[in-house]
Amino acid sequence: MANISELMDGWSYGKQANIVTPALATAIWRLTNLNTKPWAKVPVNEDDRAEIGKGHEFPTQLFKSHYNMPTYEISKYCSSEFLAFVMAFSLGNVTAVAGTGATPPTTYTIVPAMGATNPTGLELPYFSFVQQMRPGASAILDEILIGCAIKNWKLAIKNSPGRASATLVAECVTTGQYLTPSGITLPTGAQQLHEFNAGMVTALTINGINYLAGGSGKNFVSLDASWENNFRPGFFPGSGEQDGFQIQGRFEWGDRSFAVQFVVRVQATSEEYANLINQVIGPATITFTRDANNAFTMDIQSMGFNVVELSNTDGIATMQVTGVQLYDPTNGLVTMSITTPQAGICAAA
Amino acid sequence: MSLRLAPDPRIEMQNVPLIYMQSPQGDEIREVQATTTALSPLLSQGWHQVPAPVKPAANPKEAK
Repeated sequence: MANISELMDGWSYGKQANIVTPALATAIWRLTNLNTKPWAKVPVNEDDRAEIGKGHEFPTQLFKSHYNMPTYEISKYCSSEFLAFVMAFSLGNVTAVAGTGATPPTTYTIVPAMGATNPTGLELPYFSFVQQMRPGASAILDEILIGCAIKNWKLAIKNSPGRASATLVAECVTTGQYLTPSGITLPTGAQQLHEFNAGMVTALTINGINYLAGGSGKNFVSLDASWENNFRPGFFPGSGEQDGFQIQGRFEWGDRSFAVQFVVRVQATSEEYANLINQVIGPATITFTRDANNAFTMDIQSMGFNVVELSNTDGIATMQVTGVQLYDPTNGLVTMSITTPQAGICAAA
Repeated sequence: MSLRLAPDPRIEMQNVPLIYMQSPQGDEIREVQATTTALSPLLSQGWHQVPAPVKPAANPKEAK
């Protein structure tokens, strides 16, 4: 018997060499998670109830089928480290450059990989996920899930106080392959990350409207951005097995989508509705800056407005704007820039 | 109120480090500034970062 608060999560910030090789322990974080559930493993049996020849309609035998692994949410407050991890593993084309100084940060520049030029085709980098409860001789839970990938993420920025004003949730998938015991010794305590809150937004310009200064300053209420990789199921001849159950051997992205919605207060000079009517398009930039070693910028290369809808937010007249992010022929769809003290994110491990 | 002096990571600076990018066809390696402005077009076309190319060792006979 154990309380769920004893659950320890860790995952690799380094990428696996391939989908079946776990990351090295040296590239595994121990981190907290707002999602209090463990990642469940769901082996599925099938039976012979539909087959004739038994003389009756009832099942007589069980057969091992496959690991039907549910998706799992890693939910955290925004931090430079977690943003770099999520963007690198969900988008795929990553550059990393070390800064200067005594404790140089690393700046990652990340864009969505394209199938025609990605060295791993339609597959993104894979990471390993460790979950433990009382690891050791009498472990309640001690396993490493191998071949995990980020299916989607949701970034939420709100006009509320504290860390909850900026959150990032990554929904992950895994193949069904695992090792137990994990063989991983997680660090003694969870690593402290360099977190952002909404007060640290230092640039917020969308489609020509600056929401931090000028006529539209102080009018921004909230923003939700999300990415979906829309993975195809990864069962195929040769995809592998675990305990006699079939597992998935790849996660290939399908039609990906990038959504952005935001809410602003309405005023006499609001430009959003005119931008929609006139089909104005332009870049959008949002930057968080905590200090010289911790910053995040999302550069949407070209954005128009699909819907602008009058609304009510806590008694204030607002407009909810749904953006449409356009692929720019030169600069692509979106570029994420993250500066963080954590080196080696999405590097071979 | 605290004053934040942190640089916007997108701003191009004088001492911006250089990194090596390889074309998607693998036939070209280019040394570029590690700025969003410089990297976005290359990354979007499928270029990816590679380690610095190893310079060929000097031939000691030629050196003499």
